[in-house]
Amino acid sequence: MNETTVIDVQNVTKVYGKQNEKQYTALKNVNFKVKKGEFVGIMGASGSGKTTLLNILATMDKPTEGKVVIGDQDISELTQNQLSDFRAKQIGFIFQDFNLLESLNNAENIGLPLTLQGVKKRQINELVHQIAGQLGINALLDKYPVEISGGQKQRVAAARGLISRPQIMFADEPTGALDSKSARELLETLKQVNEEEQVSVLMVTHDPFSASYCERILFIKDGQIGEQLEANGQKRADFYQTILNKLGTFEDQEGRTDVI
Amino acid sequence: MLFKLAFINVKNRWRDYLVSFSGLIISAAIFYMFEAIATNQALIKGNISFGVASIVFQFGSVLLGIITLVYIVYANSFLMTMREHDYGLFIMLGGKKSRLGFLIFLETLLIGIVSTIIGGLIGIGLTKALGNLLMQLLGVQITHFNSFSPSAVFVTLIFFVAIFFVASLINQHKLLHKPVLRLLRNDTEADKPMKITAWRYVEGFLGLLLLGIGYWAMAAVNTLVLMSIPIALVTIVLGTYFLYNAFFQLLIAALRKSHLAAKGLNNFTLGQLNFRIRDYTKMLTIVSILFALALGAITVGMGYHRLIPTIARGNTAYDLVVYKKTAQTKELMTKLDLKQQTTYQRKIIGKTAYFDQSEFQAQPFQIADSKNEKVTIRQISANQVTKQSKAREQLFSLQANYAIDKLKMVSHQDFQQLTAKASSLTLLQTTSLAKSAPVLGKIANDQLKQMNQTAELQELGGAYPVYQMANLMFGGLEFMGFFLGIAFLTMLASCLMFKILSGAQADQRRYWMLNRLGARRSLIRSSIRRELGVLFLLPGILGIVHVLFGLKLFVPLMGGNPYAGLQTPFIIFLLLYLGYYLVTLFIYNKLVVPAVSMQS
Repeated sequence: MNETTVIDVQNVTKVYGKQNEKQYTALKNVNFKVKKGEFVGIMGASGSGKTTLLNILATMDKPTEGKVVIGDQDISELTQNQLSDFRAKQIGFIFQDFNLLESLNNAENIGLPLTLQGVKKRQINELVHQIAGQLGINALLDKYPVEISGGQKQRVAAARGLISRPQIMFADEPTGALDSKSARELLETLKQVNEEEQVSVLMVTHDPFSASYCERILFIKDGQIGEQLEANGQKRADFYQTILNKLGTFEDQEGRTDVI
Repeated sequence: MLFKLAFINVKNRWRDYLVSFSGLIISAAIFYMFEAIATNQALIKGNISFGVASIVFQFGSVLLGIITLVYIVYANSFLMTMREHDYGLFIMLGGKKSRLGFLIFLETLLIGIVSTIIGGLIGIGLTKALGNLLMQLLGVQITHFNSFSPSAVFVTLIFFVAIFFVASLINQHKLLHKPVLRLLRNDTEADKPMKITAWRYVEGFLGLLLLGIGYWAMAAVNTLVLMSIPIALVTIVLGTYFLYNAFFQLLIAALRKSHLAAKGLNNFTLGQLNFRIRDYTKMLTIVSILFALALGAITVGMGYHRLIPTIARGNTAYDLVVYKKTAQTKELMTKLDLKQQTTYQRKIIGKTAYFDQSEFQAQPFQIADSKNEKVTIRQISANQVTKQSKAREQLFSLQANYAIDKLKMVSHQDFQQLTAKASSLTLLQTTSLAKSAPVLGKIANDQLKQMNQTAELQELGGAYPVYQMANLMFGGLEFMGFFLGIAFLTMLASCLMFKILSGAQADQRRYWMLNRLGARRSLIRSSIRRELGVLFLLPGILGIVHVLFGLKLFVPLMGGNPYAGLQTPFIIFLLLYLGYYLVTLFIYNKLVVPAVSMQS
């Protein structure tokens, strides 16, 4: 496996609220790295800082302190336009609520990031068909988002996230709105793309089953990365069990820390 | 308690309500402005000499009523979507539906009454301000013009309260029959892709056909007479509707298939537009019609304004004739910006007026020729004055207050030998009739005093008396044209602005999404510029085409060419319209363009 680092988060702190107002620290001194081709999960209760972290990594928000390097690029150095281009080329997104544009058909939705970069129409068409073939959604291309199921929508969204062959894919609760069968299919697809294309995946979830697809899981609590769990080549069913056990103690510890 | 709750609801969401509230206020204000003129019979009768005027105002009233109705229904449904979630919550918390129904009813009525009262007050102010401004700008005096008219207040109040009463009932019915879950989730209805069916093509074709019939009906006003207005109204409204519902959608569908669509955000913009136009069909239809009415009213108003000097100066080269140079007249004459002043001696024997030819040689007589609304002034040689019919007529008309039926030009010696008292005709020619009008008026009054008691202004010679009459006759029409034009423009622009801004909330999500996917802000901005641009442009273009054909209606009234000098009203109007576009664009950008910056 290639050992290059794709994401390097260094001492990131995020504080909301201005200095003279009541402040709230969402992230405290977070440090971690994601290697190329790694499938990493971030787990944590609501309010733990997952979304803030993902927003900062996705260049949608700015850390109060510390820096984030994606690829070789320190993202805090980028201008507004460079950030846009960076998002279009280097980062793929999948959201819980799909976020497809309903005024465009699925093929146009998938091709959107390329269109934004001014790629030629014929080339876009080619790439859209290629990725659609890979994800098994060729039959959906001419339909509109309203005409397909949630699971299918998420596959279209995944195709859109992958079309520009990004270095990293951010998935924010991608199975949150899916039934268990669709969720399983989507995760299998993500895993497959992750292995075949060596695309790193960073998935935020609170669902242990989804998390069991990851190679490594970071647990975040009160804005800090508490513990890590690594699959270390365990079978998925076993890793699932490990995660469940871990979550049990994680919750427990929480109870104890509260007492102190 | 319920009333208090309703009141607090409105108060708490004041910001949200503001957009639609201001829309309602404006529509009430404009309705009042229109009624202030339409219900003022003395004003219409006193200032407009056409019998058509009252019919025009009846049509206008009905039309504005329909437009206001549609607008309020729109605004109301928007208000309701803002409240749906709260209502859902009330029901979930155990609120009784009957009580909730009453609450909705109260809220809607409260909004209606408050906006009508504020709108009415603004309407009174606007009527006064716009009325005074226009009178000053146009230099016309409108008699019986009242900014506060109790009957207009009454009509406006009754009309709006009635509409809001109905709207309250509709709201109540709608909300109470919606499942609670849908109220709570407040889903925007999914945007279904458009299917291009044969019916679309039929609609598109029908739209063009109906517009054709409407345009023909307006052009054939001479044969159809009064029927041409209702025919045109129905066919053009329907035609415009079909055009938006089918034709433009087909056009967009075709554009999306072209190579143009693959560039930048074009496809997204087209998709937005496609969705928008379907959603906006009714609104765009109304806006197109309003645009045409407003522009038409201003154009016709200006057309009449343009006619006045032509009518006044078309038959004489001189602005006023002074028959007796009194001290007062002499003093007033010094205040005039005179281009020329000519004095001829005259002797009247029996019914013949004798003139001294040498005077006409020294100071040639001038006559006016009007052709295609252009007035040219030329000199007539002394021996031609009594021979050429036009010159003779114009010289006659300058002394219409004398019982004369013959003009004779004699040599200087012969003139001296005539035994009659010599009188003089002093012909004044000013640089600008409109500018000199007030002083000319005073001189005319002084001259009238010198004649017998019953003498009237029209009996004086020169362009000024005609100008004064034409001003009285057309000034009213012109004033109303401008007044209604500006009122309609305000109404249509706020309709469009309101509709676009009310969709901003839903669009915010889409632009946020685009931002995530890496669309540059400049790209997003240009997409918005184009999208709103098209939404403003389409009704604009269609409105202009409607006006161009609609002016045919005025061929019999305005005599000949209502198309001359179109550019002035068009430019004024388009500038105002552009201003609205820019304001809307600015607000919309503020609302939807996401702003995140790494550099703080």
